[in-house]
Amino acid sequence: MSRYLLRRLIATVPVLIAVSMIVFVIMRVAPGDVAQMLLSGESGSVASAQEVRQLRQQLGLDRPYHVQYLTFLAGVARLDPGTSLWTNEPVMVELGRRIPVTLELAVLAVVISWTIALPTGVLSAVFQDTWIDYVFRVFSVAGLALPAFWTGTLLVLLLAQQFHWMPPLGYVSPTDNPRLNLQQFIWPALIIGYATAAILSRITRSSVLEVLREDYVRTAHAKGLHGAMVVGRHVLKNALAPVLTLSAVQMGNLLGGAVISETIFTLPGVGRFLVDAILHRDYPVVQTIVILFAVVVIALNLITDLLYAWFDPRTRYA
Amino acid sequence: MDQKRIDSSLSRRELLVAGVGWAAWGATPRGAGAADEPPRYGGILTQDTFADAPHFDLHQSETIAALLPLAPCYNRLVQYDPFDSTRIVPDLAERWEISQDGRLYTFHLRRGVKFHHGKPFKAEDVRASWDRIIDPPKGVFSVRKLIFDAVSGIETPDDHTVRFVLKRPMASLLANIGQGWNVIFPKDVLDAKGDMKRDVVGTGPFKLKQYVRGVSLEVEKYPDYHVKGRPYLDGVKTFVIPDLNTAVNAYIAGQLLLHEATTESQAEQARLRVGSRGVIARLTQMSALTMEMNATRKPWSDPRVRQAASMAIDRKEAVDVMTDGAGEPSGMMLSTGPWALPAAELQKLPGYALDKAAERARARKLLAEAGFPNGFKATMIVRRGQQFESAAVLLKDQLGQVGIDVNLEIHETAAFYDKTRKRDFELYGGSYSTAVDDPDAIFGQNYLCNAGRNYSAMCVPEVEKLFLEQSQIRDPKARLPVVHQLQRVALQNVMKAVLGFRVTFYLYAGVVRNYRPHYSRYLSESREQVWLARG
Repeated sequence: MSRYLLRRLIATVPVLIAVSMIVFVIMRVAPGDVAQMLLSGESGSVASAQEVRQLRQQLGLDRPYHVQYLTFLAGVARLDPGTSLWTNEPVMVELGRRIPVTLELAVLAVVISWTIALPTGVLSAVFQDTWIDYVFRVFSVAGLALPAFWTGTLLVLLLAQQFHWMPPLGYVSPTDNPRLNLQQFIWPALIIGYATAAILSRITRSSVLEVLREDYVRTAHAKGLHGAMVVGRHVLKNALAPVLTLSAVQMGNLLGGAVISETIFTLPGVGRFLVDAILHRDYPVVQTIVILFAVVVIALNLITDLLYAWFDPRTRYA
Repeated sequence: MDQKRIDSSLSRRELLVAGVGWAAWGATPRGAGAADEPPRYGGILTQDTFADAPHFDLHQSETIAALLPLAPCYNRLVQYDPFDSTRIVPDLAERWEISQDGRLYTFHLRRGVKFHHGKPFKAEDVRASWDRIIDPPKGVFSVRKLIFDAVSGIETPDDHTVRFVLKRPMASLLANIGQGWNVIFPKDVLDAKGDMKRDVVGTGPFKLKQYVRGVSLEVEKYPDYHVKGRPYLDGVKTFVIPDLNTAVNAYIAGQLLLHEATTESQAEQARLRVGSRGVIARLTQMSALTMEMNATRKPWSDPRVRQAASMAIDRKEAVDVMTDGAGEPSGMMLSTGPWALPAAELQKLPGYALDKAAERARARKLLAEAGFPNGFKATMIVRRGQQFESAAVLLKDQLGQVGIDVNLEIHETAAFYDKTRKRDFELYGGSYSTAVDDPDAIFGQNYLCNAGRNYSAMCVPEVEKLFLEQSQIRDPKARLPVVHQLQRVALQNVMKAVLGFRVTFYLYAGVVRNYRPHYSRYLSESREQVWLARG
């Protein structure tokens, strides 16, 4: 197990280096730069080419690409990826403010998605081809079909225009005021959670259906065990492995959903920070966040693989 | 826009100021509420901006995202009357004199003014601030220094007097000094820090209370403010709301008391929901919609081709599409302002004829003379965004009617700015804004050979000559004919195809008093005079 873990951890290093190189190249290939953006207003800039050049120099953007890349990489290794070119604040300080926001949103969204997906998926499977199944299937197909930006905008519209209410503006930390914090986070978390639940529910359904046809389930029924007990103790645990895998994969989508929800619900999270950084060509910020997202996805996948052993004792790590 | 339709649907408390611009604002009421209502102290004004300011140094900024939240913390030498943007009134300078030859401006400063960090305000602070605007030290990027090209130096004969020495007379000097950006910073902080990117220290009616990056900037009443009895508000909180729909909905939900510069459809939505609890002001803005033609590239270097392109555009139709029917066709100067060419004059110039079919026939003839009897293909770059994209589609259609077959290329803002700065384009549909409706500002920033936003790279010697001439005439009546001639020459040469000026809508709650939007958001956002009635 520990050898397996070590091997997986070592394998992440080239993956992260490849990710950092790809994002570095993409950002440099994209036209426009932060110096131009810093000297521009709503309708362009009156700054001269010389001023833009001077600012580029001041920001270190005139250095050769390989120097910029290696400096950044060395910084990442020291957990100091540099300073935001847009705000002039250390990237880690900026991220430190925003990670708790996105983390809270992600955790709430995951809780909501599992809360919706597991019961609907299991009930759909158990009552296959009945009205219960059809209702939950429509529910999950709708979740897949409706994009988060659309449902989010519609929700804000509905709350404001019909009820003259909106989640409070600004950001309130859960430690300062849990009630206000929940008012701010519950709606975006619902939007993301529902979108994630839709696919999870479908996978849960098909996975439970598959397990329900297994011999040991038939045996359990034959032994006279109650249906709920069979599903709860024998089916669910064995059906959860693919759901868990998909949950980890969905984390990437969840972070993507956070980008949109944070903008619509004005939450100062990492997603919104990333979008702003891309638009401003704030290279160190974009590079750091993409690497951070890669780390999160890799870590979640690793944890999922390790959890497999708990769900399915037949799993062995070599 | 169907004005009658909108007016007839308003209730008594809903003030919708229609088609009012520069000159007419003085005649409109000071926000909602009875004129004899005594001001009330207290309350927090909530407003929004679409983005976070990259830093706090207004001399180095050019975005409203920085000016809007920070303006309440500062004063300028002179300011625009918050109720009448045609008038320049004292701010930190209580009075001023202009020499006979117009080359020396002497400002007498207020006494008893203190910065938020306790230091008394003196002439040296004005000098330190203006020196960095006019002649910025290394590492400081003064984005408006070209406007003050005529100023040769600043003198401070004593602690309460400042002199602006000019190389030549500049009729618009006071108007430009009054721009919201030109605030006075304390010399000691500038000396110690080098810039004001992280510090907010002014003499204004409010001081910084709390800044949460990406969330909001809150200012609170400055108890030692030098104007007795002001400000009325306890504070102003500016939220960062990048999504326009969310901002309008926050206004509808009562979380924002003020939402500036929105579209007609959003304003209509707010009107339907907020009803008599809100006020909507419609305003022609100092933001011109244009089509740029790169004169360094063939065939756009040929004036006949530029004229033909300009003549192809039906400006009324173009402006209707670009502004949801709320804009007005115009020349270079603000259509509702004192310098605009009269409509009858405009109609004689290429592109403004009322008989569009006849003008397009003439355009095709011009193209044939230029060697393109069957038209030609061209590429137009477009900034991503609904307003720019719909305008580009319309321009493509209209240019197509005289044989110019336009291919559209959409770029997001950073890439678009990059292309315009490098003049890597043939055509683009864009816009430009200036703080002040003055020929010095508009031509100085957009049309002169070395102007920062002269993306078309047009250089017309007669424009340069007329610009200098009008800039030195201090009597507005004598200046006006020269300004008109300047516009005629620029329009004849089609330096840019100007389509019209944007119209935007300002939404504010009925409890907001003494608030008056202006033709430019870069003039006065200090909120010193604003107060809140009981809700």
